[in-house]
Amino acid sequence: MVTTPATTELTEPIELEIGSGGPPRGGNEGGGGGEGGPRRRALPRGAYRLGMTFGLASIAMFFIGLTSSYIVRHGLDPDWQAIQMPPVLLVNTVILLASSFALEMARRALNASRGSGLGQHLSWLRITLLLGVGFMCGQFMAWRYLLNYGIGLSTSAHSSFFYLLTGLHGFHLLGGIVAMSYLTGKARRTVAFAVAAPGDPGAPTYSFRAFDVIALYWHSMDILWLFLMVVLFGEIA
Amino acid sequence: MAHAEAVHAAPTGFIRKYVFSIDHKVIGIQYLMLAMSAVFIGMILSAFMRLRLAWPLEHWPTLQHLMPAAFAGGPMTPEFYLSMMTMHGTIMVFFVLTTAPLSGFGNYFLPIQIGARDMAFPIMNMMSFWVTFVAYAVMLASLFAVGGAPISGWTGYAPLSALGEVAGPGLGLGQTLWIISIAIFCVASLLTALNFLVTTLHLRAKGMTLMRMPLTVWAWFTTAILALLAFPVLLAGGILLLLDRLGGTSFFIPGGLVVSDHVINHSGGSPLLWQHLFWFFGHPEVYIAILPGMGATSHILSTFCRKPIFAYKAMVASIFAIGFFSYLVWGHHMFMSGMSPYSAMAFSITTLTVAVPSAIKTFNWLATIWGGKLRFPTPMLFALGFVSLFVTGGITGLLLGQPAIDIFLHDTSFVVAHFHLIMGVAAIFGIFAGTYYWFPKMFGRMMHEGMGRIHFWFSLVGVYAIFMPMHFLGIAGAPRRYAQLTEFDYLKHLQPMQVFITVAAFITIAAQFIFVFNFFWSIWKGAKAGINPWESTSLEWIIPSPPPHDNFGDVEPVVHNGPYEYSVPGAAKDYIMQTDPPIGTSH
Repeated sequence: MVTTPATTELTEPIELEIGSGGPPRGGNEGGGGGEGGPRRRALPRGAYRLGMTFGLASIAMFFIGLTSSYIVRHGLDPDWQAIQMPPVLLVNTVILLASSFALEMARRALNASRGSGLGQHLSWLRITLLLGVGFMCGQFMAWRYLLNYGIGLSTSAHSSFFYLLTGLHGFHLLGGIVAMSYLTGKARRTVAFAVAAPGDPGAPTYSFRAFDVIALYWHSMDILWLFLMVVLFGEIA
Repeated sequence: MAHAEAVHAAPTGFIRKYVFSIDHKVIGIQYLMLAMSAVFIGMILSAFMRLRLAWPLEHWPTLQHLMPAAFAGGPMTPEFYLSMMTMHGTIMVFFVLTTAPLSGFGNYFLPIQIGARDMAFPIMNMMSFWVTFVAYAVMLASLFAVGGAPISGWTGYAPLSALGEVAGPGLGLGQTLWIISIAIFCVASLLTALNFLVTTLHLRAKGMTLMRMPLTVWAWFTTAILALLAFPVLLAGGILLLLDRLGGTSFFIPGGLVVSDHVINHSGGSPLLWQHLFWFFGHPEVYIAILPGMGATSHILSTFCRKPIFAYKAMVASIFAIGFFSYLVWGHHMFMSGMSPYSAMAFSITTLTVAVPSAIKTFNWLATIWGGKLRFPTPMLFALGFVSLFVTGGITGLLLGQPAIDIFLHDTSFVVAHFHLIMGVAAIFGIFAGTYYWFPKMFGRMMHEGMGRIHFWFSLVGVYAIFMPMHFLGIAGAPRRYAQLTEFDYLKHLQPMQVFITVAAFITIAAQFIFVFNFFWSIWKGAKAGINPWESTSLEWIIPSPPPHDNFGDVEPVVHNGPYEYSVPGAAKDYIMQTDPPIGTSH
């Protein structure tokens, strides 16, 4: 359901409030807590995305350091014994991929609704969140599965890396889940964020900034998971 | 369309203004205060080290009374010496050299020098300081931990650092707290780096193109890239080390170890892996320590020579080249580790290569000075001192960067002399230069010139007196990280040199108190400073001293000129501010 707004050219960022009163509060915006009225900052579009990209570069270096350690350790060990992949991890992978898919559906709903269709994107966001939580539950199941076989952190080098890498990935995904909860909560109050590109004859482009960066983070966690699965169980070494 | 700006309302109340502030200026000063406290603790620790090296078997009754465990049996114990060495290095490298130049001055002046009202993410900026503070608190806890501070060096080499209490005093709780502190510090650095990068790329004022940014900004920008990509690897190593200690894993612990009559139940790990991880971080880290000082030196030299910096573009390119190559040289810390000599050859080539952009910068500084109308206030003295120390410290790096020579010099006092001259002094002189230069802007008052000069000369002569002889000790074969050298016949004749170094060190340390006194006295009693006491051209010098909350007030700065327009032929004054009308147009 797409409604085209009247030919008003939007030149200032606006945030439409549904439900609650008061100025919207963002994560890194609104510095002084709204003293003196709703003075909002206007970082250029792309600043938050750039920040998230740099953050992801840092996280990537972190996992690259760990992966290099894995490769070195693997190469040193003549008696390397890899653990078998707990079957639930395949399910988890599918769940995580599905969550990314749901996130993209939310993005489409957001773009299509153009600020008027309430809540369509919200349902998809909730599905993403649910799948993310499902993934974490699946991770716990995988760890318990291994512990039942007596395979713990210190059992073998491969198991050490398994727990380490999946644990750290889960920790980062937990951060994503917290952010996703924020998004689903905030989305109840806020619909969209319309900014017209200068010179654009009237079709506003949407930059739901918090959504944008959290989605970037979420998809990166997805790709990281695939990478870790290949490293741990792909038998490439 | 409203220009991109970071605006937040002025805070009220003491806590919001001075404690949990999101104002980049307050955060910058908080970092500088943290660094100042850390540098004094670090200096005191080094005093203990020098005491032991000069008079190893001497009894110190007062100290023994204060610290009985450290002086058990009379003289300072070797373990205490090693813990002093470890904590001195750690505190200085992380909490002084990584905080003050980048997070301290960078936080304060990066936004102002590019014409922004604050960093891109002020709340995250505040978080980065307080996370650093927590890391600092944990590190101090490690210093005073039950069992003592760790003794494994600031480099924390495995397996010594991985085995726990069984391997020696301080390696239990002390080492664990040390690792946790470093891990927390890594996270804080990431947040800082993010902010710097996004701010520089997105919040520049109108007309502030990249090639009009002062070299200080370029230095902070590149340093932030280094921090962004290097600290995560240290965090990875730290987590692996923690797991080896607490989780029973064997990432770094090889098999077959028997330590203090205990059989160690780990096997398969590689101590060399720790070295690779640590130094992959460690080398960019030392460039993180020096690059902001280089930027400040360029900036200050240009100001006080009344000349544009020579070859601005080459300076920018050199900063990037140094940053890039810093990631390719880490193996030069490991020439003697047993790694392949072919790797050593590769790392040696890259190490000598990184000297090229450093040399370009040095020659450009000299070319900037040549023919200038020099003025010699204290910041200029320290900037000149930086150039001198960078050359002396850097040249010995070229020697150490050759594996054949390093066979003899590795782990000797020669290495200690090298890295102290370059990090412990040149980088510190960069901090001093920045302090004396920017103090009027930060506090609205001038520091006392007389005290500044005394501080400079005592420091310059003092550090040369400390570290030049140390090279000879190293060439003679004096090993580093030894608490006593008097038991070796081949070094006995050099003991007077150790005493000389210690005395020089004590005098130099004493001279630093002049600086501290000057700093705090001037905040309240210094002569009032105008807007631009140095007649400098960058954007911080168009706003009041100290700056208002939102830096530029109602005026949106518009930049027309480059950052180093000094002595422009035909101009009325010998400097043209960046916001002045473009050169060549009539006023």
